[in-house]
Amino acid sequence: MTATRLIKCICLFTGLSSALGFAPVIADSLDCAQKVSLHCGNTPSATFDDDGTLWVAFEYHDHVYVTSSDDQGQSFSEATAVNALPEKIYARGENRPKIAVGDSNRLFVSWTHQRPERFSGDIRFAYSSDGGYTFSVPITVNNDGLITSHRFDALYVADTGDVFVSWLDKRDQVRVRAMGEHYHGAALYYAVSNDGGESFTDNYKVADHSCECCRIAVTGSGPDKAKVMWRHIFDTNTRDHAAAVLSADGSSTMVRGTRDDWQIDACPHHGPSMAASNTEGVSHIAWFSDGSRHRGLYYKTLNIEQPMQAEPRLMDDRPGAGHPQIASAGDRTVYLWKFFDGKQAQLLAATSEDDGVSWGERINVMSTAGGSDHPQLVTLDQRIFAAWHSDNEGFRFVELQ
Amino acid sequence: MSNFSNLDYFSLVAALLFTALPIHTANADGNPPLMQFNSQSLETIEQRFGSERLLVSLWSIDCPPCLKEIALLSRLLGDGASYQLVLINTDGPGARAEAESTLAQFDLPGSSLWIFGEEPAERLRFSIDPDWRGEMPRSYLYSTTARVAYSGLLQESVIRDWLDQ
Repeated sequence: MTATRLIKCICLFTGLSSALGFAPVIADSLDCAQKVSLHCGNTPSATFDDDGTLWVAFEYHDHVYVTSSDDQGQSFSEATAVNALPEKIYARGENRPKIAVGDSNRLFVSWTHQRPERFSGDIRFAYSSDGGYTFSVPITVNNDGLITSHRFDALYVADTGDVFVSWLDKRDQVRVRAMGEHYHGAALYYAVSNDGGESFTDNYKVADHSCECCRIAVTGSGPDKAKVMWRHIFDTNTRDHAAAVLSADGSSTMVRGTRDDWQIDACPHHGPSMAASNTEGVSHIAWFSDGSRHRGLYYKTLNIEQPMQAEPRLMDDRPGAGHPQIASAGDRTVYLWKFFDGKQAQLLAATSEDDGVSWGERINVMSTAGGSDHPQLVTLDQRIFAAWHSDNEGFRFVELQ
Repeated sequence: MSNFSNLDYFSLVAALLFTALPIHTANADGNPPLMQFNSQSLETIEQRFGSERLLVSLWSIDCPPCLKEIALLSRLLGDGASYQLVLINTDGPGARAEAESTLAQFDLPGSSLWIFGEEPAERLRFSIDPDWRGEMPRSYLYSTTARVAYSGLLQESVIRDWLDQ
């Protein structure tokens, strides 16, 4: 086909598309060769700072980038590379760079460096104290010096300013196997920075035998602690969820969070989500299970003191539903998830106005005919937004009214 | 002087090429390069191999139980188990090099090896099984009467019972 014929075909296609009202939504730059942007980058994570600026971290060609928006995601600043030296970064599904904002709008970024050895990685961290113009030289947070899996970082900044980084760690598996014994899964570890991200404490273990490759959910517990939730391996192979409160001094308390009885030796690649509620000590949680008790996407409130008290609520039991996210702001709680109907991927949302007791009908937030990422919910004061990256449309950021 | 025209020779060669499955040269690791899986590929696989002793297993690089299952399936082949193994990696084209190097450690004689292509992963999963929720390893054991789905690491006893049917 000659160039002229090709150009004529493209014009005809776009002309017809526009005439029929099916004009493709092309983000302002889906071509990172022109300019690196979150539209062509991978696995974005977004958060607002106290001034209402939206910050997004994403991966592109062995760098984590940070970009910002002052108009709630309609337009973005030029992206800044966090790591000056390229390094392979996990940017797929459950494992992706994270961003959080601390005191004085200090920016914190974490990611997992992908090592060439199988299932190996290191937890990496950098901060910016000048509003994202420059970033510190990245450091490695795991301190065991082993080439093994330290992956699936989760990042949280407490009201005190302490930075909590938690992750899934296989140093104990290495140690136990070296003694000729079997160690199932990984372990949940964390470290804390109380100097604005300059350095981290020792690494603290929360629990042995976590599931190996699902994301960790994290939220706050009071002004000074973090609360995490993850898929764990109970008994021989029951892959239900656990939760723990993490203190800055390294102490933690773990409880069983869900009882789905999912007995399987498999990788669901499906981590939970968690958000603070209006009741102290109680969080909203969203999770996926295919256990004998619970199959599909579920919701409940989680009180660390009495974790099994609340009755789980089935949100969507269809096989095409997955990757739930939960967020709350003011009186609203939103449960967001992806659903594939055989042709299109849809982003669905349900809202509760009474702290999770009752829920409205599910609505379609947006769709795509092509490939797409996991969705994310982001809050600003009383407002809740859905963030979603898709191949055809780039990064979309939609307020949920 | 031959009775065949040049066009006849060309047609014959073309016909042979189009009717055969692609024949790949082995890469340095001994396994053939992975074929690209699209939403019609499972049908192609089922037609090519029939449902006699066909075992289709889906795996991901980031799935330790998947690698245990591939090791088991490889060992059974090495022990002389007579079945057609089809392995499909779900990580997509960007992970081809990693997927191939992951499989390089296994002996997989006669196996048909695939990797998810450019279509969205959920569409490819749907084309295999609309009831599959994405957990891996996911395996399908075929018999002439049915296809049975398994989630999680296959038990050796389950495979042996299936082979003995």
